[in-house]
Amino acid sequence: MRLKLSFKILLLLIGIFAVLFLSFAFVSYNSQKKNLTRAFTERATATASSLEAAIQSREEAENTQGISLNIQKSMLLDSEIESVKFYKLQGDRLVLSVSSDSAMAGQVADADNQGAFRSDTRSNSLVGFGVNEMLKVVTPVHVSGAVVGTIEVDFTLENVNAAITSSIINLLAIYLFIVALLLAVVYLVLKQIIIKPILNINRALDAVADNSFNYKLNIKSGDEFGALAGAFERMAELVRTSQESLNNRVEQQTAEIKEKADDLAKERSAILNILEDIQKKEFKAEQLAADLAKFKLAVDSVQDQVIITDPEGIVVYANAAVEKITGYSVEEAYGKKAGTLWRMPMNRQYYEHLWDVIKNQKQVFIGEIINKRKDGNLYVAQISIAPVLDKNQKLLYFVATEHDVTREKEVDKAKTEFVSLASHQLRTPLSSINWYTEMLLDGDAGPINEEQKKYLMEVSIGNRRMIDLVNALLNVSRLDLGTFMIDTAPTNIVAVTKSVVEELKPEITHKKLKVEEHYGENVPEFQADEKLLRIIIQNLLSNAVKYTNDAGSIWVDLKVVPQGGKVGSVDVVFESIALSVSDSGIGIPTEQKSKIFSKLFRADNAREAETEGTGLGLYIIKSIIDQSGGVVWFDSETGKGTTFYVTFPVSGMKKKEGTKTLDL
Amino acid sequence: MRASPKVVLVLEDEKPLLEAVRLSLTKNGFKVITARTVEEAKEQLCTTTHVDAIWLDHYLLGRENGLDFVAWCREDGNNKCKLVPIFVVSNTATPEKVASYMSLGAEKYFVKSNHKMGDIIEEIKKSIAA
Repeated sequence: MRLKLSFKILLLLIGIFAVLFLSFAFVSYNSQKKNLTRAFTERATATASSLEAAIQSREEAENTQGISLNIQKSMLLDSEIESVKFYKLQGDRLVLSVSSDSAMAGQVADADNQGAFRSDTRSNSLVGFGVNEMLKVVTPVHVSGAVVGTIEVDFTLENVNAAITSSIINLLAIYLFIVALLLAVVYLVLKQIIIKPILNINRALDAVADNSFNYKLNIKSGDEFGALAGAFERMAELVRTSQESLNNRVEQQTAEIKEKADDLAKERSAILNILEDIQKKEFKAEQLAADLAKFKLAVDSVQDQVIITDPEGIVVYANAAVEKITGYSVEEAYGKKAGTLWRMPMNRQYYEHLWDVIKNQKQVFIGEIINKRKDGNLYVAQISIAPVLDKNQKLLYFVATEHDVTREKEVDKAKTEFVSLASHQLRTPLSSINWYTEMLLDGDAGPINEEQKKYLMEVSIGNRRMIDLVNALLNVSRLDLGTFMIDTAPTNIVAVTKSVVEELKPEITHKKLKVEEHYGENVPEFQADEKLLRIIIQNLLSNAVKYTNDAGSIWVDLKVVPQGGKVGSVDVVFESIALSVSDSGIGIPTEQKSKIFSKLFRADNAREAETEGTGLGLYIIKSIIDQSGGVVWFDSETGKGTTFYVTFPVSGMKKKEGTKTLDL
Repeated sequence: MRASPKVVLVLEDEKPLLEAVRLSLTKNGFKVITARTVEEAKEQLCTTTHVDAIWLDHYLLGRENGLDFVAWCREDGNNKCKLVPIFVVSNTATPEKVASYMSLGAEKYFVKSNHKMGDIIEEIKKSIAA
């Protein structure tokens, strides 16, 4: 740096001085040359004048020899004269007359001579160069006032040039010496005034660059550097303070940024969590959609009609079975109120009741309905309409399923007819046997002896068994079909029980059985199907009678048991009517207890004791009791006796829709 | 002076049963008219003066059954049997059937195989006497 600036300035100065010198040298050279030219021109003029003087007459002018001699003389007088030439007008041309050198007379004059002749002015010009440089002076010659020719005097400038050159060289030497001195001085001055302050400032700037603001500039000069130093110091201070405030700001902002970065990081992780959740939800939604697709597919392939409606009954979904069964397409069903399409052939009250159950009571409606197909045919269906509620018990939808039972009904009807016919076909021959045996025993075909009577009795008994079996089987078939009905009405169970006991009196008396009846005080009339109740009580009591040996005992107990009370060893869940029939009979073997309620089962000891018995009675009553909401069970010990218990809630038997009753 | 015997019309398609019932009723002092179809029964009614009771089975030979006979009986113009007590003695006893017979004015419904003829005859006697 130090070198650079100084160097530049020095170069500049050198350049300036060089230029100065060159121009000075040039000027000097030119002026010297001029001077010399003037001098020579004067000398030439002198020569020419002398020549001119010599040639005063025209005749003289012709006297070339004389001129030549004159020329020679001049030349001797001036050593620097290279040549002298006299041009004379000859005719209309200016030609060489006399020359000092070997130039041929008669040569035409060159342009310079011609020009000088014509213009009657002296001319001088430099010809050639370097060592051969010559000054050519051309002077017009007058004779009696008229220009007769020119005299050309050529001076060699060899010496002159050499003189000039040497003088210039001397000048240059002196000049250079002075310049060197000056430069040295200038350099030192510069160094002090400019370089040092600059370097100082430089160092200060470096210090500032190193964040050290303590470097003090000591520039007291009043010039621009001083101002600069002052400015620098102010600037340095500014820089310092701004640096400080900048640092503070940076710190602050860094802190803010860090905080923001933290927040962003939190947000980012929150967003990632949300994305994760969304992904999970998407996955779940996909799963649900797949499940939904499965369910939709499943529901569409179901044989029964499935219809979903809004709370007003407008159809929003109908499965394919709707078309199969009703003949109306799914599109026809959409958007219409359910039922309008099926032209509701039943009475108004039915539909009002239906709506009441599902809309007002928000309960499931189950029942049989008759609808009309598109082709006008009626069909019977088992319908179930379930209201779907949200968690505030507000209606969202109705879901209705309809099971076309027409075929089932037809099958049912066919079965019923079959059972009817079968019973007729089975019972007819049995009736025949029954009645003819009756007539024989009555003696209608003649008197019979004891032995004949005995045999006939056996026939009768066997027949009776068959009849009982057929009756029981017919009941079982109705129970199995599930379409037997339970039709309840207020029933006096005490009365029924008493009448059953009364019915069995003949047998009881015959076997000398002791029967004790206990009827609770407040046994109410309760909702029951009297016929079925009778079947139950009859079965239990006839069993007790059948399977108790002569002179045994039977206890009949009928009472109301409150909630939490006991029947036998069993706790009662709700207030019930409880019937128990105990006997001191043969009991039920332990290993056969589990089969006692099964179809056609008779315990070994029962078969041994009593040939009569279908093995269906307990099955039948258990079926009835189970389907009507009661409970039946027993305790028994072989050789000691048996107790059968039956309970019904006081609210009564469960009503059951059906088409058949059982036979007694 | 012996009262003229009461007349019972017995409608039953099974021959052996028909015979047994006829014998029993005769033994009990009744006059018995038998028929195996509704058509036959109608014919019989034409030739007889009166009937006091009808023993009626449900399933009969021919197209018509017991129910049809009762319905015809209870129509106006059939004064011979319009007010006569009808005892249905059948082996089929679905509630519908029983209800139908009773609503048409049958007196009683017996399941054939559950009863001795003697019991049914007693019932008939009681009913006529009343």
